[in-house]
Amino acid sequence: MTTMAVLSMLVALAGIVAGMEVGSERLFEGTAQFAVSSDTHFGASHYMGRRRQVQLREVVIGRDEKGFRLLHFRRVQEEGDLVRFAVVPKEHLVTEVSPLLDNPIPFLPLHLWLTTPPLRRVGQSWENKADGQVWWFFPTPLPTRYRVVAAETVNGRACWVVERTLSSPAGLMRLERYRERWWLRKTDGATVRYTLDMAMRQPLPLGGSYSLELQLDLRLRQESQLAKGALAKLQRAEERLANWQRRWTQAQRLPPESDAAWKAMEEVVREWRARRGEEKDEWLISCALMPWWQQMITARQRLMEARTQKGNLLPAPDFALTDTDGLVHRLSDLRGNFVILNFFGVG
Amino acid sequence: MQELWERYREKGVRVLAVNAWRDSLADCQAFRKKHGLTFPVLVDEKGSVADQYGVTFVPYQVLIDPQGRIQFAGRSLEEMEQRLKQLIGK
Repeated sequence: MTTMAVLSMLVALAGIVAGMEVGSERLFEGTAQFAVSSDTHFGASHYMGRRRQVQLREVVIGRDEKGFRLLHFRRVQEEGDLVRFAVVPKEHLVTEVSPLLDNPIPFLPLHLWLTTPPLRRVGQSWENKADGQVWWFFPTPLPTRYRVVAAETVNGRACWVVERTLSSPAGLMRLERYRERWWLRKTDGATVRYTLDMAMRQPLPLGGSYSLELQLDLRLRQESQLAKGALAKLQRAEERLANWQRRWTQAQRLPPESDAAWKAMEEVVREWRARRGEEKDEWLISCALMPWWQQMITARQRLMEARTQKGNLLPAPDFALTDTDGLVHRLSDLRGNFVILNFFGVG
Repeated sequence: MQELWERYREKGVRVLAVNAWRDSLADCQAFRKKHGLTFPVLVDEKGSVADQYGVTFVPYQVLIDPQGRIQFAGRSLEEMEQRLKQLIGK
């Protein structure tokens, strides 16, 4: 979340250069220098090349017919030259990133620097509100509120002190992981203060796809939302997580690719799935569990693929689902036939 | 996938498209229409089947034999078809 939030802020700040509310169509007007780089292309032609310095005149958000958000950077030097910067459609991302599945989250390493100090005034606040599922296993985040509480110099760098209201104390856990990057100053469980370099020169590894989607929905808002009872819930979630992790580690010690390993994994996955439904409102808890969850799913997938290759076949888990015409299909009813499951996503 | 199904349906191969991204019924219906799919398209708003099969990306194919065993799991349609040919040929 934090890296996403940082990019959120970047774009939020870009909007402030022109003194405009972020979330409107035009994010930026005026002249500022951006360096936009994408270290990896993944075959996405609409990604810009490596570390290109771009003089920008305006940044406009649009939506294509599928609802994907697009950023248009209009360059200053070349009048009329519109550089199209698209948020990668989900299906594209998934297709192109899958060779990197050893990474739990397919990040598009995208860096964005804003070299002209934006002029956010002390006292202003804004909110990062992201709705919709940005990545198919990511839960829906709650809004996060930011406020600039001071401007000062830290180690010779012009900085803001930014206060962020946490949607739930669970957010702290994630923030602390990024302590250095965020120059964390103070936290009390409900808010967090950190110093932010005005020039925003620190490179920020960002999940290009979903963080861009997230950050484009910035809205200025007054209210903060502090989830009640979140701390107690978090503690319980942590206990459960510890329990699952313990069992998971045990499962990993079983002979690899054995039935016992598969079964042990299956059990944890089943419990996790049941739990996830209950806690879907507590997105931060889910977020905290997410990296581990992905590891788990990937491990299972590897095990399954390895075993099919070696002819040590696993039984296909049974299920019953309704099709688009309302008919129920049960896998076990199709015994005696070859069955192909073709997993797809609409995006 | 549609073509593959048309090639093998005579041989008793069943194809089920399973949604892995928790898309809505309407989205799945649109998907089916758009690609002109004539095999069932299953809606899975909880994504539980994708979890059961450990699907982390799409498209993803799983081939199950008549004994209910997973014979192939992976992204490549071509590789899956090869495996299917092998098995049917036996």
